[in-house]
Amino acid sequence: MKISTMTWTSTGVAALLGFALTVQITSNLSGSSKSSSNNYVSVQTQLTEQAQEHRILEEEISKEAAQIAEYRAAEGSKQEMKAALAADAHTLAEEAGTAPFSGPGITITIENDPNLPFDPQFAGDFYKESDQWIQLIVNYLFSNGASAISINGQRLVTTSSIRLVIGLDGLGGLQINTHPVAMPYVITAIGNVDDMKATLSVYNLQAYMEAMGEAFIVKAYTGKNALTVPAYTGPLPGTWAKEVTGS
Amino acid sequence: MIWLPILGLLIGAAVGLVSNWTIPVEYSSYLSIAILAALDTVFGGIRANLEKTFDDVVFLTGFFTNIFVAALLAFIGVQLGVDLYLAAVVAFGVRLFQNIAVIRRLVVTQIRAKRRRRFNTTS
Repeated sequence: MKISTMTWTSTGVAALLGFALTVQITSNLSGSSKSSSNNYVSVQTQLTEQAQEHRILEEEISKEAAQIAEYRAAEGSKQEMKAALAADAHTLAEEAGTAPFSGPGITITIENDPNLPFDPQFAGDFYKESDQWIQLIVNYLFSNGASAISINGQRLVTTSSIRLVIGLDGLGGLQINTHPVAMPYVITAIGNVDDMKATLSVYNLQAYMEAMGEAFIVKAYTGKNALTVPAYTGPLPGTWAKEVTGS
Repeated sequence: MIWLPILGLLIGAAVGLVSNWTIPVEYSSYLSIAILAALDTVFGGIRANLEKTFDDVVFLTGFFTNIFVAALLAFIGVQLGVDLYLAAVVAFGVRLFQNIAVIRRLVVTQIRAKRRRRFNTTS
């Protein structure tokens, strides 16, 4: 049985077509199953959310465990109960920002670095957007392991402000809690060192800062009381409120 | 000898499955357009065979040239930011349907002619 050239040609072409079709179909199938993981933004968001959730749960567990231990230890003794409640009050004051807070953490120093390569697209942008960038960094830190943060010695509390105040002449600067602060900006954050460092890496903040001509130096301090952020000394809500008397 | 091309198709598909060879997502559109061009050539070949005008050299050169040109057109389109691959999709799509229509008519005509011949010999 003689097989014609046409049949051989058709067979070869059919084999090639079959191969190409299969490769295309399998590629599409594997591509669609990986599409969510390929999405960088999605992975970034998921990572941050998971880390945040994990940290919050861990904190809650440790707090509850500590409270149970304290109350158990103080059982039956009013004096000890009072001491336990005082310790709780101190912890709350530390977390609210009205008492100094010590622990392991990181410092982030942002300062102008003339040695960085000049990028005409972004150079100098930090001076116009420093409040937004600092707010962004602080929010990332608070949502990823930071328990207390200060900027150039100004402790951040729930009513704190980070403002860029510039006059009509273009002069001005950053104000934290209405206190003017000057470069270098040093953000001191106490909390989970690994989580905070991870979030700074995930959001690629160093690259953004360097593109704007600012050095972004992160240092980690892992000792038990390696860093201390001072207490908030400004007015708190209700400070200026007066009790209404009469009528 | 129709079974041989079908066997070839199955072997090709099996090799594609077994090799576990995938192409990056960014090149997927090029392969899609190349497959469309290949399908157009294959249907053109079937049509030429039915019309008794099949030529191996024309078929093979058409197969590879169409694949290459279609992928090149898609690539140029990406570089220029214009959806040039649509031109290939429309051109090959129209030709594909034309070829299928002609093949259908030829097959129907051949079947009718066979039936008529059988009817004439029996009556």
